[in-house]
Amino acid sequence: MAFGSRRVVLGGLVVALLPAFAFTYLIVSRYKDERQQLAVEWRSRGTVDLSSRPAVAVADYETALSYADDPDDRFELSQALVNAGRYTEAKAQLLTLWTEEPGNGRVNLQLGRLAVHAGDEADAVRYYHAAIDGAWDSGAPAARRTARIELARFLLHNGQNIRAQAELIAMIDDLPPDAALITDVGSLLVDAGADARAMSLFQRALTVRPGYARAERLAGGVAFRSGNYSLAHTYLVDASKAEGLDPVSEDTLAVATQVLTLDPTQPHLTMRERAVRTLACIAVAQRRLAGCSAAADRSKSPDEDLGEIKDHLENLDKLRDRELVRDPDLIDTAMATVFQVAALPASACGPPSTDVRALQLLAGQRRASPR
Amino acid sequence: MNRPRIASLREEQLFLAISVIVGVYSGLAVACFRVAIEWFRLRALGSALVPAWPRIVLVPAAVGIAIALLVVRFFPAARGSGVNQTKAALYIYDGYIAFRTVLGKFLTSALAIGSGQSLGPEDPSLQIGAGLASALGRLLGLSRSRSRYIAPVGAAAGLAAAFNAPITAVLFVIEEVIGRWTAGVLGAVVLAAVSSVVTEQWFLGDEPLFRVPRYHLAHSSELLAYAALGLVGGAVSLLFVRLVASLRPRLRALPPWTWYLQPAVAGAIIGVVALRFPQVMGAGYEYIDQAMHDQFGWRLLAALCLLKLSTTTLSFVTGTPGGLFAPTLFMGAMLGGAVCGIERHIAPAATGPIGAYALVGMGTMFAGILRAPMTSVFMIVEVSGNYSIVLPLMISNTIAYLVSRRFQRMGLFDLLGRQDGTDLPSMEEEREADIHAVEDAMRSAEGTTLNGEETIGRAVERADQVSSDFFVVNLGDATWGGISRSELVAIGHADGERMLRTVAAPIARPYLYPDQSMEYALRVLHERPFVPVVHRADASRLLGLLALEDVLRVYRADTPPADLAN
Repeated sequence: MAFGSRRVVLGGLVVALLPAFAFTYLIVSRYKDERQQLAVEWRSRGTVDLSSRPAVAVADYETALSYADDPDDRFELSQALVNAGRYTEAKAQLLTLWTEEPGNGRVNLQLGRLAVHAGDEADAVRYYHAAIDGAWDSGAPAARRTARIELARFLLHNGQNIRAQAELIAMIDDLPPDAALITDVGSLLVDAGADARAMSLFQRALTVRPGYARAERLAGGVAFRSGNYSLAHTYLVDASKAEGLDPVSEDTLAVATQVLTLDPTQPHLTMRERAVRTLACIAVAQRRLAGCSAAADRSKSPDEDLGEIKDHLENLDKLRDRELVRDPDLIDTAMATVFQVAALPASACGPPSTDVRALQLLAGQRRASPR
Repeated sequence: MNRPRIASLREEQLFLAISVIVGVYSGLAVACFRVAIEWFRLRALGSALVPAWPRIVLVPAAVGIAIALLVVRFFPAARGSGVNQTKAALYIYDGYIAFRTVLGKFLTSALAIGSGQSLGPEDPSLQIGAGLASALGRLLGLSRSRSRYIAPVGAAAGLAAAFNAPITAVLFVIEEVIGRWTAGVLGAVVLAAVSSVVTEQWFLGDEPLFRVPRYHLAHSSELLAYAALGLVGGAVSLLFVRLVASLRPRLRALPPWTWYLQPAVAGAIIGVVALRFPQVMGAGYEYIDQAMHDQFGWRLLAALCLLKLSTTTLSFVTGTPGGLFAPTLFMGAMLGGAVCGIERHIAPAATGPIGAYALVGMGTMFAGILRAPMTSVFMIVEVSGNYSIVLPLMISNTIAYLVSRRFQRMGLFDLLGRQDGTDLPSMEEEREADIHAVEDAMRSAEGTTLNGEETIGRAVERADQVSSDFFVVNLGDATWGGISRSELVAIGHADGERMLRTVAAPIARPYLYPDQSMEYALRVLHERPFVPVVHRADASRLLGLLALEDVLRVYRADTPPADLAN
């Protein structure tokens, strides 16, 4: 073929590319639209099935992904896999997302949760921290708080109280005025052994929402443990009035009440009131000692020790309030014997009653700050 | 510039321009082909990733009958993968591929892959590209030599668009189809591949075939695991090639009426397998992706590898049109994943990500089955965009290639060609063939070398001590001359005091070097009785002499090439 006619054919081929492109564009556009539509359809099915039929939702999202590789669908697929108990596959899906976007907070949070499920502390800490520091599409502060709280819970579960404290303390300043949330964090601080910080959070919660029973109850518990029985009593009574107490808090309140009732050393008391309280304490001690006799044989305490305490207590039995008012030193002597009785072990005397536990706490206070 | 030279230049430029046009048309065709496969799949199997069971079983079987009718009645050249047809166009039919074959390949492969036959779209894309190129070449009235090469150029374009990987396509076509790296052909192949990929990406986007996870070598001892993968990959490749090689002729030997049923039976069996393992249907790229992202256990991965091997064998040996590239990659990915899973049990700390094993597995099976070791390495690097995977890849691919070659001398495509009665050149055998060099044939020059600076009388005395009839004379300045014994003696009697260099006839250059090929030596020898073989760095150093009878002696001593078909 001559070069000239070849040029014509070549030109014709180039011109023919236009309709070829148009045709291809047309069918490829329709093909893409159809795939997009199918992706949407299967995504909707997945959303419907996610909570009720996770295994079906997995297939739905996988199909949606085969039509359009949407990160949101992949994330939902990982959720469906978690719901279906297929944790390894869920992790694989999340890792796929993580590879493409290592700083994605949502993905890191999910990976952290899976690491918690697998009991992998190192991975959990790594992913939770990445979630806390990561990027979030919306609601970043709340999501970061959630991540930190979950991490703290996991650390507490693993006995890493100091690390948990650090996580919780790091978020205290950024807590919003949400009494429930503040109380949650305070509660975790209690579990982590940071009572003082917890108490300040409970008080902050009560400032935000006065009369918030849960904060009062937890604050009561912290106050009780710190030896502030009066404050504990106040909080617990308030909580009790608001919504009643759980058995443990009720018991705490009872003990605190007894402490406040029996303590003869409270500064506002008159001498007579001190004497009356001392006599009440002696009565409690006598009842406790009577309980001890039954178990004396099993006790390893030497009989003569118990006998000596008995003798002392019998002597105290003769005391009257007038004598105690006259001679305040007798109160100290009497209370020393009372505390000796309260200190007798449960193995020798059986489980202590509420008033005996109150005496034990008073004894503890006395030891901590002797006069 | 004279006329023929201008014509040649124009032809060359035209060839390159056509290559670009071929690339663009191939890109368009492959985009349409991919859409056609998906369109038919949606209509036939539905939009669910795992189709409902009646469709899974019935569709591949029913469509199988239609495919068989089309192939047997209308498009017989559309059978099989398309690689050999392209080679045949190059070596047998002067680049001719009927346009009807392009249409047939497009239609029947789309039906087969779309209905779930265990085959892939790459080799058909290669043939579609080659067929389009051939048609365009005819339309433009290319010369015979150019027409011959236009089909492989189109093949590269088709494959590049199908894989979205131009380097892989160029390498494959050069390594497996053309077999030579001449500048003109390479330029055309590269232009076609690039233009087809650009066109295809313009429509379908530049998304790679797989989302490749990050790779790192967990520990250097992990290379042992990759070596093991190479061994296992070699063995599985062997199994696949042997199965195809033994089943295909047997099924072809059955009565012709069975040809109408064979794809349907294959489809039905695949459908039954797919009830439990739907991953075996079609090309399976989405499942390769899932395997690379750790979504299957190692037992399932191993099972999928073997099931894909079986189903692909079934689809292919029954003559269903479709390619082997995608199934090969599928098997490799599953095998790599399975090896990774086992490695995790043995040495969890020294095991890298499963995606890396799947990738290396793909390359391994490609090297083992298709016997294209260079392409297998570059393909994975190109597809993964990760150069650091090269080390395990090379180890594993080389081992698989060697294992496969050790136990199965002929590669799959060569074997299929022989079964079809076409004796196509084996690029692998050409690569492996011993190439004789000058040093294999040259004779020693010891005793036959005379110094041009000595007298003729002295030279005669020295010549008397040896039996040679001809002598090489060092004329100085790295020039060599020659003189026969009779001439030497005659001149010596007349004038024994003359310097030898004045009478020895200089031997025309070029001389030979010991590493040069025998083919080149023959051209240098031409009509000359012998040619000096000299040192490359010092041409005044004579290493030997080469005469035509030396060359013939070497070739006569060679064992003739074995009939590999036997």
